[in-house]
Amino acid sequence: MSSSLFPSISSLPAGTVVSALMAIQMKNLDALVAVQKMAMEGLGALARQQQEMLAARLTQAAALPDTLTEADPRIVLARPFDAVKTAILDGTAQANLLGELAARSGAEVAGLLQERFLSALDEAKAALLQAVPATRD
Amino acid sequence: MRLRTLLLALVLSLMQAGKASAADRLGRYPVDPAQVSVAGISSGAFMANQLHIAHSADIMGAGLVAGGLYGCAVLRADDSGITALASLATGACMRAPARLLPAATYAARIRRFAALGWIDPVETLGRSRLYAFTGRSDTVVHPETVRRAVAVYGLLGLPTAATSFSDGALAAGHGWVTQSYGMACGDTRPPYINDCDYDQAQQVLQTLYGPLEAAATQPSGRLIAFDQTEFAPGGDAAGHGLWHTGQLYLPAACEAAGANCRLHMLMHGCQQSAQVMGDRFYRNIGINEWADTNRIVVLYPQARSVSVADFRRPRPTDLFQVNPEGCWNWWGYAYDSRYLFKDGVQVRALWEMVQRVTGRANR
Repeated sequence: MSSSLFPSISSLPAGTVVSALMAIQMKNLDALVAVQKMAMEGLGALARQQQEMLAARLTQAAALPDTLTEADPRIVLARPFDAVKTAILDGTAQANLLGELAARSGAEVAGLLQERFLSALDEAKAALLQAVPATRD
Repeated sequence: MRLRTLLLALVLSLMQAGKASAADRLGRYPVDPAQVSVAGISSGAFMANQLHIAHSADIMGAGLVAGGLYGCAVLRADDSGITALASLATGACMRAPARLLPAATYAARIRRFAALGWIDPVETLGRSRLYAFTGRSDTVVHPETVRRAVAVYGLLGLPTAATSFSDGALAAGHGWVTQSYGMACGDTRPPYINDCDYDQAQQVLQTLYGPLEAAATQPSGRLIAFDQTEFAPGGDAAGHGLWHTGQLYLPAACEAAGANCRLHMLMHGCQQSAQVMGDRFYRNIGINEWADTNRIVVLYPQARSVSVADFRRPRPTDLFQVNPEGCWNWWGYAYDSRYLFKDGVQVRALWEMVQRVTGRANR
């Protein structure tokens, strides 16, 4: 059993089909380059978010000593609980954001590949149909 | 044979009745184009804010209930456009206020968008009026988001005297607040209409239009269903988060051709559209009673849920473009990366509705 999608391609006239298939392959390579670029941009966005998260955490930590200067003891008591609650919500929001960025990046890469693959199928089909003369009854 | 023809006619008429186009075309009414205002609750507040800022030259003011901060879900903005994320909408904008940006950052973005011509010049915002509300028990949209929205208006030139801000004065949950209808005041559950002995309808309209005549006990106007599909690109309302039918409340005093009425557009929140609760929202929030005696035509546009099945060609990115709860678009769902601007799908649709009602030409 042949592993090729187009087993009869070798029996077709060379010139036009080969150049058409070459052009399709060039577009495929272009798409792969674009995909690579998109993936790298996605990673870049993730890295930027990580840096911002670290900066925000540091700012928060620096703000904590204010608690000690508070006059009302009830506020002093409540503040650490509120801070932990805020940190949990903040951390979850950040994790969701990073998750969405990563998943979106992956989906966009898949989308680009899908588009190229669908176009390549159309182009290959058109090139082959053009190469094979129509049969007449 | 005759019986078969009759049955066929019956089936065809039933099919027609279920179609989106059953409602009438939105009409023109005697409205002063200089008296157009917008308001909304939750996602409707975010949309009211977007519509107001995009068209501030032609919208005299906005009411933001439990929501609204322009561009809150935007991760990146530059001269080529914006990138928005659902996780920012549900995170920073709703429950993690520590992750909100400074008000000055949002204001600077708005100025930049105006300079690019994507929205109206910001100078006109200074002549607006603003009502804002956040309940002390709101656990869905954190009060800080509403505070930040009010602060942005201030930075863009809106005087404090033109702003009415109820900042945690009531222990209200997440919802539209009424004098005597709905769930307990502190609740956060459907239909997200809470009885807090506070007439929010009056407060919104009074802030926007000045002193009002007393509300009608029983509205004497009529609700008119109108077709929304004509306002969606290619008539594809579902794929853009628009329900097929919107509602318009027409006071009896605005029926006559020469009447000088005003137009208020009011937007529901998530899970409050006609798709989910029928007429419950637009009949019970108290706006129609005040509109009735104050010559205010009210537009109630309707959003709807968007699932992956609503996109015509399946793509791997579809999962990030859904709107499961029928919210207004304030994070760029349904592939609308222009949702904040005049050419955003929903902003444009809503503005075209306003133009139809007022009879004013495109700008």
